[in-house]
Amino acid sequence: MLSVRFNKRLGALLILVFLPACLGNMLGKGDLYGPAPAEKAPADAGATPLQRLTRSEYINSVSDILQLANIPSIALPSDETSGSFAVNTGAVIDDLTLQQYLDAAVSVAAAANANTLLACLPNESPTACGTRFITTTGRRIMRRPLADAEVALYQQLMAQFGATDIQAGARQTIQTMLLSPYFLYKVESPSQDKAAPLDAFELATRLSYALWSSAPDDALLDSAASGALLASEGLQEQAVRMMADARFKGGLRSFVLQWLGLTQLPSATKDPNLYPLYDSNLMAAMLNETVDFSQWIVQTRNGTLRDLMTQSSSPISGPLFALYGLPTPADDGNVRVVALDPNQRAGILTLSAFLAAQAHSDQSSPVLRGKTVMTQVMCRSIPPPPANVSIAVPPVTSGSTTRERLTAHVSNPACAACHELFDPTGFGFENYDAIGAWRNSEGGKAVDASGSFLDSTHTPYQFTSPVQLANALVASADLAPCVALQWFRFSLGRSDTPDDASSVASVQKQFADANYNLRTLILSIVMSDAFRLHKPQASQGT
Amino acid sequence: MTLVSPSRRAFLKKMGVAAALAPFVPLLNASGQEALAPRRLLLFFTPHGAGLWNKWIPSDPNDLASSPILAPLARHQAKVNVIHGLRGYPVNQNLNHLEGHSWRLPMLWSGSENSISGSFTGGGITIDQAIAKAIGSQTSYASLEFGAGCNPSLANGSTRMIWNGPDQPRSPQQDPAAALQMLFATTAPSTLQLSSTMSSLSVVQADIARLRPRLAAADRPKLDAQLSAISDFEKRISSQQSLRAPPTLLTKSPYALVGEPVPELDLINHVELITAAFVSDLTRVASLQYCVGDNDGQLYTQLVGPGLDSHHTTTHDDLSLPANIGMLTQVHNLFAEYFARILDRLDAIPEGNGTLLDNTMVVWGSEYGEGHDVNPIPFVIGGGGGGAYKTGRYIDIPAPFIESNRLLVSMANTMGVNMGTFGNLDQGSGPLSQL
Repeated sequence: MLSVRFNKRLGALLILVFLPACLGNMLGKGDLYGPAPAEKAPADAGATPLQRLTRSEYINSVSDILQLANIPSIALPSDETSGSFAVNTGAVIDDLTLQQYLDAAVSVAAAANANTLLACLPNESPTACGTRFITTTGRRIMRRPLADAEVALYQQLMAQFGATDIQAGARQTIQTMLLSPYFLYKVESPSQDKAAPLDAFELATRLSYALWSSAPDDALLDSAASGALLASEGLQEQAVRMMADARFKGGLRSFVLQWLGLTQLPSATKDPNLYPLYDSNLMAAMLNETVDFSQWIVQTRNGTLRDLMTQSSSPISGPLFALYGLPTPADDGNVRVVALDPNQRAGILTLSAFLAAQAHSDQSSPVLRGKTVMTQVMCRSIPPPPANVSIAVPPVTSGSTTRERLTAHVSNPACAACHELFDPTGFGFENYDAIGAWRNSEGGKAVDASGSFLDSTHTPYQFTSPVQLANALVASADLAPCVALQWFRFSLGRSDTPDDASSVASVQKQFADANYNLRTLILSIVMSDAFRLHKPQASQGT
Repeated sequence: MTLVSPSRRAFLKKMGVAAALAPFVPLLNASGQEALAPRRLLLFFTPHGAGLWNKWIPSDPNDLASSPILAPLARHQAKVNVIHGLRGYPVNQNLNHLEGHSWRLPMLWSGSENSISGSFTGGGITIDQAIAKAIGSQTSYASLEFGAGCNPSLANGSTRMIWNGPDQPRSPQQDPAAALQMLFATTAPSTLQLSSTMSSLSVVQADIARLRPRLAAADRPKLDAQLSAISDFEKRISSQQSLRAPPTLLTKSPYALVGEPVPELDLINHVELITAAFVSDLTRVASLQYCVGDNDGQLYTQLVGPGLDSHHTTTHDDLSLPANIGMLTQVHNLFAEYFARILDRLDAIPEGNGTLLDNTMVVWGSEYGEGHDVNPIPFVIGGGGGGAYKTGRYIDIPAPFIESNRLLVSMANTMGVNMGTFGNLDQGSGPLSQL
């Protein structure tokens, strides 16, 4: 967190102190590329602290494992974030969060169809059926086979609570397992202080949460049980299978919504007078569109980064037709891939969700859009605004354009030092209003969507439209390494460290060699040393 | 609702057990007799210090109405101690780096420094948790943490003021309705529900015991916390406390800062919950955090009008400008009113020969003094701490001032926990002699 004491009498002096940091970030490569790995360097990985399941991981897991038709209404503790992604490595389970997990476990166990899960055979004794349930469901919930002593404990629970009704015993078992640290935490047991291979079940956990944001299925657990998962061929086989599975959408959803800052969209408000089209239905459709688009590109089309960033068709439904200026078909409830105007739409950043999330209630925001692109998509490091600056958005006045209202960002050197790093990129999106609809004019004047950016090789890119902007990003040196790095961070549930350098370099190279095929990227991440090794975090005092 | 005092035998029995486990001094009032009502501790945080020292320090120390910022405390003059001259870090240590935003908040109640800025690595346990460890077994909850505007998604050195120890931030409960439901059960669990829950937890305890040695040492505190939460829960459930009448949450704040990032109403309702928790003896240690030790984006336009910088930004501005002086004076006066309201609520509860406020030590602190200066930082103590100290004073400690660790030790001693030093920065010893 940058903390600057800005004293106006010394203003000039401190600006000079401040500027080089911005320039350094702009021109330097930052951490895009790891250093070239030394020949025969020992395989290493960054340290991984113990992680608790995020809210969506918890919900996806119980939903898949217990085959829930509907998720019961449960209150889970809030997630923390590490960089762009939700990761729970800090706050502990204390009195009130324990109560939340307790209530959730009771509700989820009650919602599960115990009869279906038990699937007792016609002549099977309750004890035998119960034991089979414990070992089968236990392996799914705990993400590893239960030890004999554990099975015995659960058999006691089944006997006590399932004496007259085996289903009650099953619910008691489920409730208990959902409270176990083996479920709530992604357990990894270190064998030494240095990086060492994960055991097969630990690897299965990392793999299923990276690809599905959910628990391992039986096929993955079987691959771990046989040890096949520990070999590269077995790991690759499972990863490929899982990327072809419908549950891959869950992982893509999790990555994309967090990567582009779309998780804040549900709490955004839009002025109903200016945007009568916008309501909760449209908002939900927007988010679904971006997720469906990602799935379509990555899974259905086995597409590349260029496809993700420049494809002009999109899977849309319902109110999105009107938003994109298309006639609404009779069966608009069905999602179907529609060709959008290629002069107006090209890739994920030009779809409605990103544009609406990175905007205000009554006007577009070149600042939010530009900054998100430069930090999240190009991996620039941009410091927060200095403490002495008002960051209130200039109010909309009639006859003015956004660009005009933000002149201070250009004319005031103290502002420009940082704003020139991302405002010009953001202006490229000016053809989209605050809900992502196309506009040719604003305040009675023609939209000026011209802008530019510098990539880390000091190559300038200029554009006069959002489609040109999308293509410029693809042409730049930074897009691919940054997307690779972000997906790496998401998959590992932590920031990259110097110890991950050779893994990151290898992933970025494989991505490039595969012409930036996105499934190859994801595969190379889960096959990397950083993903397959565990290094415990060092102790700090008590 | 008055507190029902435990039987003397039960009280002594508890004391005896506690003495075996931790340093413990009997709770005595000023005349040396055993107090019937236990002492409570409440930590209250508002951001960015005194605002402006020359508007905080009363021109007449005997009349808090003479301080533009502290004026709301005038109605509690006889029951507060205002302290000027406690340092943010001890003197004679090269600790200027500890003035950044990511350091200050964890240091406020711990007297320890984090080893890495902004993260939750290193650092130390906060005084409320140290006290809770010693005396918390006597109540349903060892401690309760509440907050408004404390950024639920982000636990780091700028947002979390309560720490179990190094690497272990405690997150405050920020939803009063959820807290109400959890703390004040309106229906008792059935025998079956009770048995089901206890059976589940006993299996989970076995899991934790088995897992703990297999984790990296740095990860074990997470399991310890879960284990501790489980044993507290079991104690609560099996003590079969009679159902408590829940407090009524307000639906409208009396101050009405509507539309600000921090829901003021939640803050007000947390005060209701804390008061009720103390009355019901659910806990004797609580904390209430308002905003964070960093930029919270609060503009307070309904208070100071539009067009001014945010609170945080203004503390960095030229503090000689009338607009900035006005803004900070009004905002910090509002904070004083929030604090005075806490004292109002506690003072309205009769207890023993006085009120709940007389048996409580409410400590209002902040992470800065004025601007980015941390020597001194402001403290106001509300309530009588069960007679542990005199009240109604303006305590002015001259430069070079005294480290706040002394006050932390006083807080522990007031709560019956004997200690001489507290915090990894502490190089002095003993409580604050001026208190």
